[in-house]
Amino acid sequence: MAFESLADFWAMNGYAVYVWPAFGVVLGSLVAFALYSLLEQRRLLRHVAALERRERQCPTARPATDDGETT
Amino acid sequence: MWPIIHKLGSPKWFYTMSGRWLPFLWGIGTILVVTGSVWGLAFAPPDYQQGDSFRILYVHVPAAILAQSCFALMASCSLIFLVWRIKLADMVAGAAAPFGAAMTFSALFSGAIWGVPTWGTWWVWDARLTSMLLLLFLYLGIMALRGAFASRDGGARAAAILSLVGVINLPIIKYSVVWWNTLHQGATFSLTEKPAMPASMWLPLLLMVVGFYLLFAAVTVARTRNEIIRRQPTARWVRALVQGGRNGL
Amino acid sequence: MTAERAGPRRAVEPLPGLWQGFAATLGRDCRLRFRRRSELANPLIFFALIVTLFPLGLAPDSTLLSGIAPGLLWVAALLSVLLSLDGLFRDDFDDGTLEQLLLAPQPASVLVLAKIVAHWLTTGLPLALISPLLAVMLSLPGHSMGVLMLTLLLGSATLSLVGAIGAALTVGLRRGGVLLSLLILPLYTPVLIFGAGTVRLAVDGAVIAPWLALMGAMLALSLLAAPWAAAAALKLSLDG
Repeated sequence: MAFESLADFWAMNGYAVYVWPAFGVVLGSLVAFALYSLLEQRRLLRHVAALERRERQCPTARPATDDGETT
Repeated sequence: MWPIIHKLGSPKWFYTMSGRWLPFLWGIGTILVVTGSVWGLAFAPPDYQQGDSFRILYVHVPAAILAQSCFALMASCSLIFLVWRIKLADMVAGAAAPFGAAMTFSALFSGAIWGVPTWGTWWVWDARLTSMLLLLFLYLGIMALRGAFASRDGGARAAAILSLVGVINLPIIKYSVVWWNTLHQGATFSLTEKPAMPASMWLPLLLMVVGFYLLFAAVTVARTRNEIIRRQPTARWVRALVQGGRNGL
Repeated sequence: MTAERAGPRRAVEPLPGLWQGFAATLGRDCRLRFRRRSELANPLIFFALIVTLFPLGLAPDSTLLSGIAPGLLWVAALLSVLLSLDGLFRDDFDDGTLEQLLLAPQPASVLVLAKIVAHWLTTGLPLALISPLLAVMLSLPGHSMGVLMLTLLLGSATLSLVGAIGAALTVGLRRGGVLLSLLILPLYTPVLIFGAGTVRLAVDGAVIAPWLALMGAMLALSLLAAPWAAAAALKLSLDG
């Protein structure tokens, strides 16, 4: 441990205002990307499930295809 | 050769394969980054010149490395997309671009913050900082161009061409900026000319770099998987996947 | 039957060759540009205006101005070229000429190169020719005028070539102008750095031959790659 106490660790010997924002922005952007991709995946799978439900109720709407490419 | 390429380029195959690897990428990447951060912040000895402000290095350097690796990945995927018309390559390129831009911005931001205690100013027109700034503009241009096209294929091809032009230009930009910098000012602030670091200092950095790479892979794979579903919401195998997921829950 | 009919006609009237296609496109583009004289003058007026704005914004101090003159002239020339880029393919795209051009039997990259050369002849070349006039106003030392013109001649050709890629990528977009500058300006930085830097070295009386050679190398590289990339970009702009 390079610091005497926890308070010392937070203070970073006076460099706290530089070290913590830098870590916050870089690690924060990593976390943001991870959360966003997970949320997006949930939303998309729910969307596919809704499509399928709609199709079961109204079979002529949009049948499933082998590649399912929509452009 | 051809069957392998087409198998690799098949979204379905990619989706099933990457599903197996993805939890490990997330898990190991997170463990490495958390370990590296705690080690670098609390246990690594302070630098004899810069004191504790040098700890910014542990996020600044990985972000800067990732910013460039991400461009390399994007350009190689663009080449594959333009030559073999493999749509999966375009999906990967599209998924990697925002992450690369975020890493470039992170590297610039942490570098600017680091500059205050080290150089006494937020910004110097240092060769590395300047070329990083231009890299950020390149990323933003590629992302904006992809979004500007009405058709997805048009945007994908335009972004791919610009990525390739950008990757040819990057070394030229880099060398020209270095030359410009030495022409302007004698004193250069270089991180590479510091004395060799002890292991207790560079080991956490190594953990961070590897961890960042793994998380980069995880984010790119996850975003590519999302893009696959977004493009093929009516494919049979996607339907089966959703049903399987629901039964599994 | 078709072969019989095509055979004799081809013998009478052969397909135009590579050089003929290049020369015809170049001639057509130059003629079109010279017919619209006001548009021809626009980049030059813009160039002169930017150069006029700087002393107004800074101070009428000749030592200060001569210090920043190389960079200022180069930035102004670069922006003028950028301003004119949107018109490189726009009219031909709107009236369908571009489609015919890409359908022509000659390689599209050669014809695109002809259009780029026409653009340079009507933008970069006049800019380089009037630059000494504005350089005098900024009290750039007289012995570096030739170098200024030379770097602008070499550099603006590179600017036209690289800019053509951006113009081709954005020609199909409705509001491509702002996007074009975002795409192209980062790619322009090496030309700006070497162009302005060489003039600055010439002001100091240093050896500039290596830097001129580097600018020539950049021109050669873009001459090799840009027409090809611009032709590919035009094809996708017409598809999309």
